[in-house]
Amino acid sequence: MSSIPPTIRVENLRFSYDDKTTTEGPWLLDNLTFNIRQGETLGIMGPNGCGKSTLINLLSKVYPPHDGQIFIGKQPLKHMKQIDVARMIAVLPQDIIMGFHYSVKEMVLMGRAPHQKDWAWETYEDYEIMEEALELTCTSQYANRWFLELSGGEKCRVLLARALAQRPKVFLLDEPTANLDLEHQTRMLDMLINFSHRHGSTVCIITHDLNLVGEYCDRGIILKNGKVYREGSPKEIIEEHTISDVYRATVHIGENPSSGAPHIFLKPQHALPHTSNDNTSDRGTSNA
Amino acid sequence: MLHTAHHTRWKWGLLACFCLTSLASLTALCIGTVSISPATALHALYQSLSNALMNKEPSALTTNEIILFELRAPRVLMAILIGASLAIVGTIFQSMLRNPLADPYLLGISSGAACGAVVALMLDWPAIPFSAFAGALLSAILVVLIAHRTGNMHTHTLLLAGVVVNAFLASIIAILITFSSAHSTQGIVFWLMGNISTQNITTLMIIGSLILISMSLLFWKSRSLDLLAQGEPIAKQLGLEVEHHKWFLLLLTSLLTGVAVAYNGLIGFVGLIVPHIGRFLIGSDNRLLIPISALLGATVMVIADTLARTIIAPAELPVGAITALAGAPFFLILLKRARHTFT
Repeated sequence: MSSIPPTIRVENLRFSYDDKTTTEGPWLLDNLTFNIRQGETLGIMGPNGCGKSTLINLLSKVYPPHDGQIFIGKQPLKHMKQIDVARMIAVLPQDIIMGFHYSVKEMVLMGRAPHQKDWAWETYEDYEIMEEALELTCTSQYANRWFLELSGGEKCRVLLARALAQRPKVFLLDEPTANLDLEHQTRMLDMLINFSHRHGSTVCIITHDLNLVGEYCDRGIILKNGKVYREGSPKEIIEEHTISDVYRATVHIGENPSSGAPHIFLKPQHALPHTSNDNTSDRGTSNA
Repeated sequence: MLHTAHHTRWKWGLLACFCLTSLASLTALCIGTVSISPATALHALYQSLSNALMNKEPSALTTNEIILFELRAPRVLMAILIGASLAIVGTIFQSMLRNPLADPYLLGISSGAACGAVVALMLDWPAIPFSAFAGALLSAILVVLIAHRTGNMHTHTLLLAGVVVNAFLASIIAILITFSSAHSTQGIVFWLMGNISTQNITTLMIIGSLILISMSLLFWKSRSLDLLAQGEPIAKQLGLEVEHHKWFLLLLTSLLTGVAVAYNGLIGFVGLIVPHIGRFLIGSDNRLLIPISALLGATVMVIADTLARTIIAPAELPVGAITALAGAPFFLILLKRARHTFT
């Protein structure tokens, strides 16, 4: 696996939203270094507010990092044009806030924008790509409805269709399953993995859902305090003491009987009369 | 067929709106203190056009032709240019600020242009349109900065910012006017109310080419507005150089607003209403919406100006008053709808 060249290389990345941050910090992302390899499915996990969505915005050149470098293939991201970045990387945002009504078709066709000239109508090919994307995401039946009138899960699938229509080398998905029902969670992820195998693209999923990473990802990265805390195959990194360090939650890790992937079972506090909060937080700080 | 639906829609929509604009213009040419029959007007237009094309010496003008070519046609032409400019500026600001209530007049950009123009008048600079352009650009940058600080979707915050900018600029204009001579005060006040002015053919040609060039540039880049309407991060992720485009759009919209205000004063609500009519008719796709808005804006302005000069003829109402009269209730409806959708 390690002999495969990285599609995206992140080196000593530093970022903070606070303009006054000095070199001492505090940094939201601090000296972050990792690779996204060609063709893999990577899961990036971490607690709330650890900078996962920020990382997506840095990788897609929405804002520049304070320090460090990102390479897409061999090119440094900061020297790439936005349109070339968009041809390489498609982002599935968590939500979209819009003031105007666009139809589902129009929304998906916007995914073709990076491949279009300045003033041009979509070509026949663009329409075919749109229709394929709608079919893959089971959204053909909404094709003519207004995007803003759809439910959260439906919107999510339309945005996924747009990312597919963008035909990128890398998909960056921000919480892709947060709004999806059980049927569509598995369907969309199976479809996406299938699609990326067919087109040789890479998938990077940013999520809270560790079970999803266990089930679908070749590799996982757990972030803590702006750094890579653990990196490896899901089986290696999804283990009880890592989870309790990062999330301060006591869990039991079992196995999915049908796939053998690690599966997390929560141990709610009310069901655990003998485990106190102090105990877990002690362990959290000593290992950090 | 599904794949060609877009293209057909845009051809028919554009054709329908073009017919509407032509019809309104022809009517405007015929109506007035002296009414001229459409047949006479068309014949005269055809005659002068063929004369110009064949390089023939024009024959002496009849009274009707003098009224047509020296009084009404320049005014109708100006109304078309200004209506189209204001409507396009409104469409662009709404998409760029992602706010359905954005309008150059309500956001204080027109006031900025007016302020620039008044300064030029006071100091006796000949370059009134350029000063108006600078004023418009400064206030547009101010509005965009405010919108950026407060988060783009806060419709009401942006409008309040517009109120503040407007009040501030109005007071500056008032102070400047106080220092001017009584004679020019009257002129400035009348101009501020908003009137389609009659200019000679050379000035019209200059304004017209300036406006047409800006419009074609904006039209050419219209796809970027659809992406900007998704929010800036998403626009970037779809491949748009957001900062470049924002500057490009701000410069050209300020230019259009500056020219419109320098010659015709403050005409409100056209930029607010027309884009909404356009969206209602053909949807939000800006590649289609920009040309449709331009034609609809031209139509609305020609009608408003015809009303302004005929209602109490031979006296004239300011056209700004007519558009505000029709626009204010519409604004209330939008405001009510915006409260449901955007907060």
